[in-house]
Amino acid sequence: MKKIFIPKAIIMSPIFWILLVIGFALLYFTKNFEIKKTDKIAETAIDITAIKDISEWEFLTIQREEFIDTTLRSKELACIYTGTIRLGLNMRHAKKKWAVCSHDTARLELPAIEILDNNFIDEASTRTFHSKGNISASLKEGMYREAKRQMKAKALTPENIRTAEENAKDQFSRLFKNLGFKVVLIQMEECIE
Amino acid sequence: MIRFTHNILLITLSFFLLTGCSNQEKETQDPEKNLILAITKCSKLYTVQYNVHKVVTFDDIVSIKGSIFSEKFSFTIPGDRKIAIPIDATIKGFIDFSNFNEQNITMNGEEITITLPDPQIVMTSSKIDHAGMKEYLSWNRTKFDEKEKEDYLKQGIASILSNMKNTDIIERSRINAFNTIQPILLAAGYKTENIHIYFRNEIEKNAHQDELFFNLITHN
Repeated sequence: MKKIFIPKAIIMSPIFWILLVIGFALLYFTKNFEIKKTDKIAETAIDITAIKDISEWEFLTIQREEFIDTTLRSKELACIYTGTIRLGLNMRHAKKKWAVCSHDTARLELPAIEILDNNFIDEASTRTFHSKGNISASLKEGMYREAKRQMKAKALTPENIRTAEENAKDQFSRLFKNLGFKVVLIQMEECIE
Repeated sequence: MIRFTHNILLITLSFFLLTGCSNQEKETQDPEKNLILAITKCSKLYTVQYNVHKVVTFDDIVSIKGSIFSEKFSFTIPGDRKIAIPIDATIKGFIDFSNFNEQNITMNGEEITITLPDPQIVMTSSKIDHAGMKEYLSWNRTKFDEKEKEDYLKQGIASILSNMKNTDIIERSRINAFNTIQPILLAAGYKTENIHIYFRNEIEKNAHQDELFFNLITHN
């Protein structure tokens, strides 16, 4: 069986030595050598897709992180999602005459405490803890939905709802007392989420 | 020789035992998976919402520069390495009522004057269109890793917030705040012509707070 002497053949070749000498000469005589890499994204315009007039009072802010990991065959992905759940009152859900005032008494009928916006995850701030393999878009979407579900379940607790309700009553009471009302009676709808 | 081998085995075994213990300790010391960062009482009135779409694009151009025998040279590495990431963000304008008190209200007979803090803007959510994300790679260029994509997205969000300052979000927020507060004062018995609502001119201070809030979001 013939032995292959490729490495030795290359070393013995004069072309190899000529190229090596040229390479070293280039390195020796090259000055101000610089490798420049782009590090900024391209400047592009933003597209405003919708503008909405809203009337939302926020009374409790819950900032959460959720660690979501998944393994599918040879693919692995673990991410830390960040979200801010805002509990408060959406005045679009209030009755037309939610504030009735007479003499020194103000009677307020406020809507129920709710999550002001069901889109509360800042996905652009998601940190990848571990990644292996080619992760598909559907897998990432599934992880995002799971993070959202977990955050919502942990934020909408009876304790947090109660805290938001107490803060809402306190803030509205203070507002109307500052307007000159001595008695402020507040009724709130029950949160059913 | 046997004694030497025996000692080596003992040392190696001890090493593995020790590292095994510390690994176990590391597992028990791992932070809990789901973390509450903060629960904060507040009083904010959100008056306007902007839904924004942006395609974050990055073109990785690598160029090599230098000089040889006083002759300058410059060339770019051939091949494409580009990425486009579509994102949607929700930006809201709000008035912070945390420090609102009797000093913000002036009553003069039948007239009432309310001074509100100037509106601020905040990004409340962002969503990446994973299915719409595209990478363009030549055979000689490597794939984008997740850390690189995170960096481009951070730059994208900063660009969105920077561009929002050129829109009328602050002005719209003021108008809608007026439209929300006025009915309260009308219900309290004041007439339309006797209601005056002003905003404190704190644009510079609020711009600084927007940056701080943005930093808080990106570093959580």
